[in-house]
Amino acid sequence: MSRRVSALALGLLWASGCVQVQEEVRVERGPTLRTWDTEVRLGRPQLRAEVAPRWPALELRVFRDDTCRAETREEYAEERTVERSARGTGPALALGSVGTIAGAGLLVGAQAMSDAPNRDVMDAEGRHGPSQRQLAQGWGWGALVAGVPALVVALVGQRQSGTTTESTVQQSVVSEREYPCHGARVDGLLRLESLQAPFELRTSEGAVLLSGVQVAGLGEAPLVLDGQPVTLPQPEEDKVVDFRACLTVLPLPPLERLAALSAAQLDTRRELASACARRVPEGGAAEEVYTAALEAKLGADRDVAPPAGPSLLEFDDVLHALQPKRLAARGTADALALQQFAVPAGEPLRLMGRVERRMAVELFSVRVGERRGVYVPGDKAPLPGESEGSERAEFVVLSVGEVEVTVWVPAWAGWDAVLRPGAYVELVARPVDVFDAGGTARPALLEGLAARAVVSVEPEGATPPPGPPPPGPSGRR
Amino acid sequence: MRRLAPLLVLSLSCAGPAADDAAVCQDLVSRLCAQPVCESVTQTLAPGDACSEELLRRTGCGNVDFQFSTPSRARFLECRAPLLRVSERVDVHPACEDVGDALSACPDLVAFLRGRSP
Repeated sequence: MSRRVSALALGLLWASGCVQVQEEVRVERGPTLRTWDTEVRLGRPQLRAEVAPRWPALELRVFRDDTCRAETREEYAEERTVERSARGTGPALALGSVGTIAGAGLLVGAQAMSDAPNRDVMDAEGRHGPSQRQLAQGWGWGALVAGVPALVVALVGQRQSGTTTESTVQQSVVSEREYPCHGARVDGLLRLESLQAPFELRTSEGAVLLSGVQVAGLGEAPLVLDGQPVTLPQPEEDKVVDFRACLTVLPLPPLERLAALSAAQLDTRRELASACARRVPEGGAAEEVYTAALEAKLGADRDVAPPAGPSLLEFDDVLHALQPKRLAARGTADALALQQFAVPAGEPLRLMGRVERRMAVELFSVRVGERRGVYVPGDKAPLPGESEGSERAEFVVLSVGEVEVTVWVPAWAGWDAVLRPGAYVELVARPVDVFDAGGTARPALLEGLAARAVVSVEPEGATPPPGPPPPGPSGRR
Repeated sequence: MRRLAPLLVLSLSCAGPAADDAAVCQDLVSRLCAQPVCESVTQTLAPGDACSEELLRRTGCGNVDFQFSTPSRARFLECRAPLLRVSERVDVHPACEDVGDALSACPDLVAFLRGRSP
């Protein structure tokens, strides 16, 4: 009995192997069941700085943020329909049923046929021809041998064919966004490796107060806290830029000095004061003062002829008089030497570059022993020697190819018009000794002597003053 | 053995039971004497007008209990084989060329059909 069952199982297995069932899967999305928001904390801590003006200082706060991902997920129904079909089922069923029925019929009918051999035939072995019963049985078995497996294959194929539908609930992420999160103030040693105003300050509750000089170096070099980089997002950088504008226009100069400024200078300062007013309340008052001074100046200029101002000839005069041997322009060795302070103090040189920005810094004239120079005060750093007076000095930062240099522009008449940010200029300058807090001097600052615009830029939104055109694109100390 | 029955039936369905010796001998005589009688039969065996009756008489095949001795049944069937080239049916005339082949290849059969031992 068990042998028969095994044989039947083997037969079915064989038949199922012969059946080629094709499967077609169709997935249909159903209605959305619900939508919800989740927050996934990814870690990846990063340091970020925020600034807040505390005039005359700038408060810088350092945060350690994690990275989070906000996801909007939805749940929806999904129907998965599987259609299975056996391609040969129809022909197999036809062959199998006909073969089986015919075979069975012949086997049954053979019993009623004659068993007498066919004596009209005798083969080479000396045997008569088969009887009618023998022939019927032979054909019957043949039909069964062909028909039964085909019928089994057809039945198995039919059993495996059909359509099943399965309904499931699926989830998917509709949208995702990464953002800093779980920010917490962090303390440590904050360092800025700026050439101009490096500092090293320890934060207290994540915050430090930066002086105007220290602010000048922000953005010039990477800011790090305990060796980890601190990023300054764009909105915070904008605040720093506006704060630098305050350093230029505040505090307000005495009235007599204000009156001595040209209309172009007053216009530039009014713009800077306007930028300053966005962050510092005192900036608003400064803007009003510069606006009033500009209007007064323009009124007075209508009645008197404009001063002749510096001319191209004067720049050439300076160039001719000093005859600088060095030329610092894009790709020159002198530009690199300038960056490495390898140009001796007092040696004149020609500079060609692009004006990046302007700023104002408190500057002291200092004498240390026999040497004279300037001192840029750092945070609470003592003066190295005897101070001979201080002034709020104006600087332009010039890019000479890949090198960036800072040029001190003592109060020239008309320098505002020439040294506008974005203008390509040519300068005659010479290194000045700058003393550090230890009293060591190095030629780290350039003193501008004369300048002329190679390609000038117009101030944005500026209306040209009435009367003759402004002084020529050159200035002189 | 019962499981192999269908296969056995299939293999045997092309042939019936073995004929007895008398039937085999009569089958040969009827093929040789099929009208018109081939010339090789006439020249070799000279059966006369009543070919079948004469050959059955000489060989004794007309008796129901006839049995082969010389030639044996196997030799007889071997010599008869050329006569089946056209058909195994008894009522189909064999080719005279085949008849000539059979008689020339089997002198013992000729002797048997002449009524004497080879």
